[in-house]
Amino acid sequence: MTQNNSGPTWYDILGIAPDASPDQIKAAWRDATDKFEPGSGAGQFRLFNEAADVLLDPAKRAEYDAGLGLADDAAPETDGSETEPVAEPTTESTADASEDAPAAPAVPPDPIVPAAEGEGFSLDAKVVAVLSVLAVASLVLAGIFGIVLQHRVNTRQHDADSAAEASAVAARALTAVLSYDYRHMDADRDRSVKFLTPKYRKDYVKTFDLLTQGPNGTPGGAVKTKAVVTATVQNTAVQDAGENKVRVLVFVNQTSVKGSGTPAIFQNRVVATMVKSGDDWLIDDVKSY
Amino acid sequence: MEEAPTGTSRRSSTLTAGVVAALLLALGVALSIMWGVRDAGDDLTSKALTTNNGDPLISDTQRHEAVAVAEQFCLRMDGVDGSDPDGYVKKVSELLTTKQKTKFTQEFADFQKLGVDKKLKGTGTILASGVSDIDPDSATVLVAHDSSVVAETGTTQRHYRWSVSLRKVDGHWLVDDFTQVS
Repeated sequence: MTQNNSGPTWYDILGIAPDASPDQIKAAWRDATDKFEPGSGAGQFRLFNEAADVLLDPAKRAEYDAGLGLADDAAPETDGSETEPVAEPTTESTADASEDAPAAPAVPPDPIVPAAEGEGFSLDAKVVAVLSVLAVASLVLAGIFGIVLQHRVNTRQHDADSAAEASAVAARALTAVLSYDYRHMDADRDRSVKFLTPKYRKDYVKTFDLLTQGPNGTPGGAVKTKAVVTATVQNTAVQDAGENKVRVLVFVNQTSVKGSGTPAIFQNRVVATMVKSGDDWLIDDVKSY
Repeated sequence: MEEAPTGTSRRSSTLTAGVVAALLLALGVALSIMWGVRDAGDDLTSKALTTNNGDPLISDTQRHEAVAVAEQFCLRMDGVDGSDPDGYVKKVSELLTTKQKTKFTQEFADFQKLGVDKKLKGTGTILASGVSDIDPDSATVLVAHDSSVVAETGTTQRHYRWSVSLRKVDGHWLVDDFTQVS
């Protein structure tokens, strides 16, 4: 162990008090060496290693302290032997062991692991921790937005499909429901009711039967006039659509021939309310304008 | 001889972790902005959401806008005013594409040559409307409307079934054509 008698002590080199504990010495060594890249401050790095080498070895430290006298600046006695460096800052093995040099002291624990008491994370680690938390938070937020967006796409697609389906069924249904022939009214009614919900069926049948038979058992209007009515859908459009209910605006013509008379065309504007019943769309209401 | 557990390897690991965290943060922020804006703003932009196979999904806002323009067109057409034919043409033309504007202006000019009753006054009522077809650039809207026209000879009620064709021009729906469905 060598040191210049008039120069700083190993304690000074590491910036610690003479009565520093081994943990404090290790921490000081770690802080000191952190500032240097390998090869950039090899001389000072070697000094820190030498300081740690002496101060972490109880026997060496005792001898060194005795040499210092602790309270004064007396230089420690030297025996002319060179201390072995704790480690070189390069990967090459450069120091030759002296005959009298003691074995290299245990290297302080991995400096990446902080000391047990009082030593916090470095600024770099804190920054990384904050970045990591923000990254996780932003990815979670992105995930939420992604899920909500996909749900909107799915819902909108489903509503669009429902609307198209209901619209097509409305066209077919109204063609049947708004057509009748006085010669087979029962069959026409039975064909029509298949497109209706149970609720709407009641009103429809009540009205339709009046075309067949009047209140006192007299022939109804269709039978009396020998009416043949044929419905033709011109256009359909979706007024509004939800998952299970769609309102369809239908431009439907009814061509009515009474007996051998001239056909009359009625250009109707109706809104059919379609509701989903199982896999089918049924007419729940028809409003005429 | 042991190699010093240098601050270098620690610093290198911290740097790598920092770079990875920063990249993940940038990715999370970019995805949040992209999906967040799409989610909140697709009604406000002309760009439609698409299904997985790329078909456009039209928002309710876009549908409502198309219907609103079609209805307004019908009302303005019904609102003929014999005392201010230029004003009438101007009001209707505001909702027309250039092509349709030219056609309408010419047809009304021909109509004016027949002599417009200055007391002619019309009003319209929308009964029902709906979207027959729509994509990001065009739409067809059906409108059921009635008009009541007062003239010197009396009042006439009319019941209309119009199919109104619209096109998106500079982000706005304009009427490109219309037909009476008979």
